[in-house]
Amino acid sequence: MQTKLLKKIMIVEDEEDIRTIIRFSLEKIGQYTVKICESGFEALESVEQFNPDLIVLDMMMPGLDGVQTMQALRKTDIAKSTPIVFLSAKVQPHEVNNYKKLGALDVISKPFNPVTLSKELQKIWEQPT
Amino acid sequence: MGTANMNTSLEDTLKELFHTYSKNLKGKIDEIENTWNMFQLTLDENTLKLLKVKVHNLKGSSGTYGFNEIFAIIEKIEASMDKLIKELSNTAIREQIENDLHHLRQAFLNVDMNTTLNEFLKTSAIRSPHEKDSPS
Repeated sequence: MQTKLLKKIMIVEDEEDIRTIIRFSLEKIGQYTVKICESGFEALESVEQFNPDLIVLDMMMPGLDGVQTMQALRKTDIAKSTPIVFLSAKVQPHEVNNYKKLGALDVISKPFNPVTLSKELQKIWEQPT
Repeated sequence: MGTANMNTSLEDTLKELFHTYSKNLKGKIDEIENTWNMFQLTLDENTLKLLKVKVHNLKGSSGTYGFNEIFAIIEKIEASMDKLIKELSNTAIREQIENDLHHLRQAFLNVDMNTTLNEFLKTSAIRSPHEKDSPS
């Protein structure tokens, strides 16, 4: 379980409609400070300055996909151990364990409920590791 | 600010997001159909890969914004595309996708935006995350 409070969340998502509703969900409902990145490359550029408590990565993105972005983030000093949650529109239950083995804290599936998303992330943040 | 006011404001924002998405939905379906027609002409793998990204994105967003019928059809199309990528010229799979794209268009044309919005708001169940759960 994380001991510090969850305040800053970085979202990496290529689709605009999803970015918009996640921003609404996490900023307006969850009251978190949010940094939205449109690609894995942008996340790598922004991570040091934003220094997130948690990173949410879309799985399927052009350029660097979710797993590749996670691997690249793990090579940075600032995000080498930052908890990462995957967001996926295509995940089978048995694949969740594979993603966890790769180092993800958990996987949230799309479609998601925009009103409960922040609660879901908070629950994942508080779950025993 | 009271909870009722806050929830009204959240509901208004959700409605606004829904309306913006629904305005763009036709364009997304048009794009998918156009890319599919391009693929049918060329049987080009890269065109199919591009199409898969568009289909995948529509799947995630349509379900999140409450367009459940569109989500169900597009999920089926994505599954067919996963098969098609392994055998690009398979006629049966291509016919299946063609039919499902037709159903997708019909489902879009038949969407009752008010009902979909109301269902979306109901499913989203506007509620502050700081409110305590009611005892069950």
